[in-house]
Amino acid sequence: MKVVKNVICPFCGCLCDDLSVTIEDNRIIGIDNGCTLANSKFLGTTRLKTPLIRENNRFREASYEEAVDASAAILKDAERPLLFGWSGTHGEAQCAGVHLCELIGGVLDNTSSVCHGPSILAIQEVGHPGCTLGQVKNRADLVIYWGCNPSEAHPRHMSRYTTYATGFFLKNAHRDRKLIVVDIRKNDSANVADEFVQINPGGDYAVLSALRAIVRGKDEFIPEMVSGVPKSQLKRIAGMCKEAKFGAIFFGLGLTMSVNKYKNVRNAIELVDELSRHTKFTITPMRGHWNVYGANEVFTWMTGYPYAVDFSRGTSFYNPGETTAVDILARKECDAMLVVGSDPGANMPRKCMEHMSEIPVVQIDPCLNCTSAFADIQIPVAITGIETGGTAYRMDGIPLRMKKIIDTEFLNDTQVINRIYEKISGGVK
Amino acid sequence: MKFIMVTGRTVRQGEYIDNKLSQKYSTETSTCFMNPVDMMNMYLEEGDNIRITTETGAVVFRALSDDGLKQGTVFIPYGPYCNMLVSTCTHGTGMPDYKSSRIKIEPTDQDILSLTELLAGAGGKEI
Repeated sequence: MKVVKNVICPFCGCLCDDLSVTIEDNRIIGIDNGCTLANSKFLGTTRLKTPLIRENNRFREASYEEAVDASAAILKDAERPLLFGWSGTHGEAQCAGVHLCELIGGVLDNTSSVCHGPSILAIQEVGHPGCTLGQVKNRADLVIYWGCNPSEAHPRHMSRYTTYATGFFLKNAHRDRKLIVVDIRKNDSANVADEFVQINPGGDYAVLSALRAIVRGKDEFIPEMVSGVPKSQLKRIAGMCKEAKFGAIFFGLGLTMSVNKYKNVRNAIELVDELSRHTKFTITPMRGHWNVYGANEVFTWMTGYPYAVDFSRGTSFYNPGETTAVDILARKECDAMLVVGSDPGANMPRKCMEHMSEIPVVQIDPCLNCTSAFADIQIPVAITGIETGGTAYRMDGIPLRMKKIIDTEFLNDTQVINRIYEKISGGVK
Repeated sequence: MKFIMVTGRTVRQGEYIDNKLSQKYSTETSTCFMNPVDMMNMYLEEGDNIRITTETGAVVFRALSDDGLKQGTVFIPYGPYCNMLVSTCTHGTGMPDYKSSRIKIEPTDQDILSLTELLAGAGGKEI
C-alpha cells in the first residue's frame, strides 16, 4: 500500500492539488481531502473496458486497431465533420485534436460554447480584469458569487480560496471576509452569505446596471425596486464594494445562460471597471470542467480562436452562433461527429441529439454516457490525472501538470487521436 | 401554469457524472424543484409527477418543493431530461436558453421515462 500526496483532481475547474490517494495493488482504495465529486471520480468503478462498434443497432466489442480504423474512415469520408468536447481531456490531446481537425477541414468546438462561451465574447469586447486564485485567497476581503453555486458545483472553492480559507492578509477569513451571493434561487452558498440578493430570472443585466449607476453616484435615477431587488439593498452592497480593500467577483452560468447572455458578463466586467476607480476589484468565471480553460488556451494559441473554429476554408474561421456546435447540429449541417471528453447527448437540446442519431458519431471517453446512445464507435481511454499524465488549466488560467498515479493498459486521448490522424494522413505528420 | 425553467448543476448530478446510466442519475436529473406555494396552487404533493411542455416537446418529472425559489420559477438539475425541453435557438451566441426557457406545467399520472426510453425519443439507440 502506498499514499501519493499532492494529487490534482480532474473534476472541476478548481483543480484542487492537495489530494492524498491511497493505492493498493494498483487500485485506488482511499482519498483524503477530496470533495464528494472527487471521491466519485477517483473511486469510480464504471469505466468502459474495451472499444465498441455498433453493428445491427447493437454494440459489439472491438480492438483498438479496428475502432481507430473505423473512426478514421468515418472522419475521412465526412464533408463537414464536427469535433466537439475537449474540456474533459488534457492539453496535449487538445493539440492533437486541432491538428486532426485542420487535416480533415472540420469544425472544432469545445464545451465553452454551452458554458462560458458568452463570457469569452464579453472579454473580447471589454477585456478581463482577472487575477489568480492565490491573490483572492491572500487579499480579498469581499467575495461575490454571482449566478453560481460553489457549494454544489465547486464544493471546495470556498474552503480553499474564499470564505473559509486563511490568507496571508486575512488570518481569520470567515470573520474578516465579507460574502455576497447573488442568484435567482436561495441556494446553499447563499445560506452562509453576509448578504443574499435574490434577483428575478433574467434580471441580472438591470441589477448590474443599477449597481454601476450607484457606484458612479447616480442613485437618484434608480427606481425603488430593480428586478426584484430593493434599492436600499443595492445601495448597501455598492457601499460594501467601495469600502472593500480587495473585492473578487466569481460568476457562473447564471449570467451566461440567461437572457442577455454575454451582455450580462460585459456589464459585470464594466461594474468591476467602475469599482476599480475606488478600490481594487477583479472578476473570474467559475469554469466547470477541469480543463475547459485549457481547451480555450490551446485552441487560441494554435488557431487564434478559443472555440467554434471552422477549418473548412483551409484556414481558421470563427463566428459563434454559426460555427458553434449547437447551431451546426440544429441546422443538420455536420455529416459526422467526433466527441472527446464530454457528453453532448446529456447536455444539448433535443434537436441536436436528433441529428446526432442520423449521422455517424465516434466517442472517445473513459465511460459510457448519454452520448453512447448516439455513438457508432466508442473508444475507452486512460483517465487523465489518474491513469495518465497531462496538462490542465485551472479556472484562473494557471497550467498544472496532472499526475499518473496508477498503471493502465488503456491508450490515452492523445495516442488515440494521433492514431486516427496517422491513419487518415497515411502516416504523414 | 406557466413558469420559467432554470437548469443547473447539483452535487448529486456531479457525483453520478461518470455513472450516467445509473438509476440515481436519472432520478436526480428528472426532478423538478418548485416553490411550495406554486405546488399548493396546483394541488401537488411532494413527489407527485408533473408534465412539462415547451415548443420542443413534453417530459414527465417528479416535483419537489424548494422554498429558495421565487414563485413562477422552477429549477431542474442539468441533464438529458430538462435538455429535451430546451430550444436550439442561440440568438447568435452559440448558447441556448438553458436558464430562461418558458414552460407549461400540469399534474400528470404518467410515469417518468427511463433514460433509455427518453433518449430513444430523440433517436437514441441501445447502449
